[in-house]
Amino acid sequence: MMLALIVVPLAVALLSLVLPWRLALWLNALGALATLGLAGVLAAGVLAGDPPPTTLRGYLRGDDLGLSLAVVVSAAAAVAACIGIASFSAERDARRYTVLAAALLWALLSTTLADHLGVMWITMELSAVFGAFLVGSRGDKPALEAAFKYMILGSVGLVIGLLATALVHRVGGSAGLGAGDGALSFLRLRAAGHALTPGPLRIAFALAVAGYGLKVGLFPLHVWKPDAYAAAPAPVTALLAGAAVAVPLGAILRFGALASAAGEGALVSHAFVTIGLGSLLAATLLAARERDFRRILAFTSVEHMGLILLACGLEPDAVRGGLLHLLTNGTLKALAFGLLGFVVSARGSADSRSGPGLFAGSPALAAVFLVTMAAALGFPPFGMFASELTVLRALFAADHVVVGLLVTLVLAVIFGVVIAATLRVVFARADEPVPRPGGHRTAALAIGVPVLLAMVWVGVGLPTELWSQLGDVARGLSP
Amino acid sequence: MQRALPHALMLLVAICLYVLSSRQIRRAILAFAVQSFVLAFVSLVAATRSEHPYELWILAGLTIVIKGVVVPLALLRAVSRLKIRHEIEFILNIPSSLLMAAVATLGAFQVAQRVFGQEVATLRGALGAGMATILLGLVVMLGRRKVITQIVGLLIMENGVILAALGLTMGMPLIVEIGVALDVLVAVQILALFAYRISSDLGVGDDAPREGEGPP
Repeated sequence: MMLALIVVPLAVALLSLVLPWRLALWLNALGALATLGLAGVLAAGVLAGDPPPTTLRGYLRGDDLGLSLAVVVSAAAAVAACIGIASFSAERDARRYTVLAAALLWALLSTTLADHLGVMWITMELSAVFGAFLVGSRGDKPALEAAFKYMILGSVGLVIGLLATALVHRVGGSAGLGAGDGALSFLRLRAAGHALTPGPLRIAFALAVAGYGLKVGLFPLHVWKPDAYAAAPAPVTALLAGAAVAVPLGAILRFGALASAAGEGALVSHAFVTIGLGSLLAATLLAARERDFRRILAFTSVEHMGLILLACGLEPDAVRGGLLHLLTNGTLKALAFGLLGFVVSARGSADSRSGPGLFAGSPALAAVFLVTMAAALGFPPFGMFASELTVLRALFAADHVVVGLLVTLVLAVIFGVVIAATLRVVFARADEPVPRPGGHRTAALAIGVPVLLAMVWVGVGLPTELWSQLGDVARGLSP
Repeated sequence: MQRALPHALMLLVAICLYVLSSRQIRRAILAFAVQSFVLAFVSLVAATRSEHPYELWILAGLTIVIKGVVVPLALLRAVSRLKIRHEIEFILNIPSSLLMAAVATLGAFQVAQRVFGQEVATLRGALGAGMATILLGLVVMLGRRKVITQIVGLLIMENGVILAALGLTMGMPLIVEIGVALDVLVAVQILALFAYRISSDLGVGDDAPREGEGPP
């Protein structure tokens, strides 16, 4: 079943090469939903205590972190793929999108499930390749430049990550795991625990945070992000912002878990909290300067990744909130960026300070967009409210009062920035008539409503059993 | 062969300095090709001391074929297709980038010494030289505006990582080395393709400096 999780997106990518393009778009969405189902079933099993499934000679191993991330990735990918159905009207664009998006999903899932840190690196580089093509797929100068920037900065990050991997290989070899693949197996490295030499591992951890942090887009390594998210087609941005960012973050968490296992928990905690807080603060300031709504949302992505990293550097309760936030943020970001594509085409502009209001021409789309943005900002009863509240409660409960106050303040400020921009986009009065009224009404309702309902379920109806199982994962990850 | 190792390592770092001080893109690409050949030589030296020499032979072969021949040729082709007329444009001038390079090299050897000094080094100096190469590649990327030069800087960084891995553990597992080599091949082709399309489709004669481009 684990193998199916990897094979389904690969098969979709290959089939999309030959199938009629409209069918390929539907197949892409169905494939992503199937991976979501598979990942969900597998994750539920492992969280309930089943032994983690392995496949491909142990190179892939669905541990609790890996499968949780696989759920996050495939949920966001499913939303993005559904948006994709309604977003393309030309065969060439649609075919390129379906093939590359399915291939990207395949690479992302392989990365989250890789137990071998070298394989994880290789698949992450592959995802950068597919991602770069997707970012550049509009083909005009800004898109190509954004794609180049995405690719070259991502490659620098990956080179640094490779050095971290080489250092871990050495550390594992010195701890008696041999000179081969065993010394790069996350499972065996973590089990070696205190046998790992802390000195080199500290350097490896720092390099991994820098290198993979570049892929996540943590401040100050976020410079590719607003450009790429503004230049890519909406379903691609949804896929990148919802699914792709969670994967390098998972890699950082894995290196953090290794450093913690070697007794360097304090360093991991400090690093995560400092960098997370830095990203939160900087992203808020930078978002306030932007006009383009896609760039504003890109900075909120930097901000939420910072929040998740910060949470993962603290007590298990905060880590649990962080993991839940990864899911809610991923899904809602994917939906928000996807709907934003419809919004931009309905208004004829992505500018949040000028242009016509959305509500006048497309009231249904405007309503769904408004509710989605509210959910993505942490309004109850949606899942984001629950996850943010969990993190904040954990912060105050563990006496991190200063950090807690700072986070609250930042969340309040970015709330103001984004809600102001949203309200302008939705309700602005403009003299000129709305270009294309009523666009994408069905798609927005058909995708937005189920996703939002699912988020309500995460927010208020998450089974207590699942909640406590998530706590077990968090205890394993907390430094 | 063994006695040539320190010279080879010095040559690897010296090539980075040559790239840093070179004003012509073609020379920088050729220097990278030479560096890849020297790196292949270092992995052959490592093979004589390793328990799994065949893995290092494969690494040497991959390095020569992909990074010594295919990638440089692709880059040279990109340069001529891009019709790059100007020489390398500097963000940092040569003296200050060489100064940064000196600091980076000393720092790299210091760190390598401090972290792994106590343990027996299998390839003495390779870790320090590798880390120096990574940092110098970064200086190349930071100091230059041209798209192609940035790709060369990235490739130099990557060579440095392979060298550091040789110094650390006589190379990483074969699957990783092969994966890395293929990924580099694909990534460079894509970067060159983007560079070409950015300039050619839009009627720009060469990859002129762009606003906000470059590493952070």
